[in-house]
Amino acid sequence: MTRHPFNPGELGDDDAALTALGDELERSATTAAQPSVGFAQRVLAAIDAEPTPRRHWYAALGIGAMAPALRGAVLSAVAVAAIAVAIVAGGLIGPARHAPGSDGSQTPTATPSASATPTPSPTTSPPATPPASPTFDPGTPEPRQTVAATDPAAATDSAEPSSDHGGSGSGSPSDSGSGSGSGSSDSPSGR
Amino acid sequence: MTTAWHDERVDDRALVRAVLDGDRDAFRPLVEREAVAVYRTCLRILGRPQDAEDVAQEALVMAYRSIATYRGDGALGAWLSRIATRQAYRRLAQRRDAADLASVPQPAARTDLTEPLAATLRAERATELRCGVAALPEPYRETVALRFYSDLALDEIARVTGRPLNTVKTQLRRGLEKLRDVVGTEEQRR
Repeated sequence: MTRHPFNPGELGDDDAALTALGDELERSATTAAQPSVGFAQRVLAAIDAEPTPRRHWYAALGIGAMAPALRGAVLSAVAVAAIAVAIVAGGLIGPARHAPGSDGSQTPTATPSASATPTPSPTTSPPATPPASPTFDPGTPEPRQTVAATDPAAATDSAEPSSDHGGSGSGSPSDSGSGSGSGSSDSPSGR
Repeated sequence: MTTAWHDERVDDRALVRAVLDGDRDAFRPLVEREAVAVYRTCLRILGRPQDAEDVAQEALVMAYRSIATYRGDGALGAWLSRIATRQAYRRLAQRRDAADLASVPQPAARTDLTEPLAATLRAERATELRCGVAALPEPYRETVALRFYSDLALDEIARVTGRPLNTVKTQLRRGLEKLRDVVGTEEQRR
């Protein structure tokens, strides 16, 4: 290590008493003492017994060489940013979840209007048509109802799938009665 | 790959990287280069050769363990000196003979001295100064110790402690003022 003699200028202004004290400290610290023979070897032996030092986890983030205070500030900023992102994301997801038509929970409310048409028709038409229309009226009402009841592809084109899924999925007593009632009562009646 | 770690031009950071990559031999020249300086720093603070050797060894082992925390600010030797200074004062506190400011013995008046007596008084005075520095509050103690016991220049102290140079200068000056208030100066003793 380089020896740096005490320089009175290090103290800023000229203070004879402080300079004298600095000189005295330097003299009292002057020593040619040496550690005992083999000291360095003992130290190296002690180091050999140590595990290999590891890099800190934050070194991987590129902030390992920062001063501890700066490193702390960076880590705090990252934590605050992560919390802010979580809050914002939560704020976006919450309203979207409650938006109409965006989720399955809303579909049951739409189901009654969508399935209102099929519901009365299966219940009324199957018993009504077979006895009433063998002779006179085969065409007009029946094909429409049969297609609407038996062909799922036709139902899939409109908004019905979502309401159907929602109706059976939500399991709410009022809605599932109408939604599943249409499907279950149609297929037996159609076949 | 063999690197000439004994070459003083080798960057300290490269040496640290090599140690962290598992090259234990990279630390050896550092120990051989700095062991005496670390020992002397400890001796100046502790005053007992056996304690100084123990603490110097502890400091070097601790430096090896925590070498990942070396930031590359200033020389590795200065970083080692700081560790050694802290360890030495920790040992001094454990010894419980670290004098606080009030218990530092008052300087004796000097008269015409024979040589053995002068040597004894010099030793006493050195002890007074050592105890006085040990009793300084932080950060004055660290700054004074790094400057006078570890032989670091002020800019080296600034780099290794992460403090501005002017702050270090102020701390050195105030530390010496506090020390003077307790132990006086040689002039005052005459």
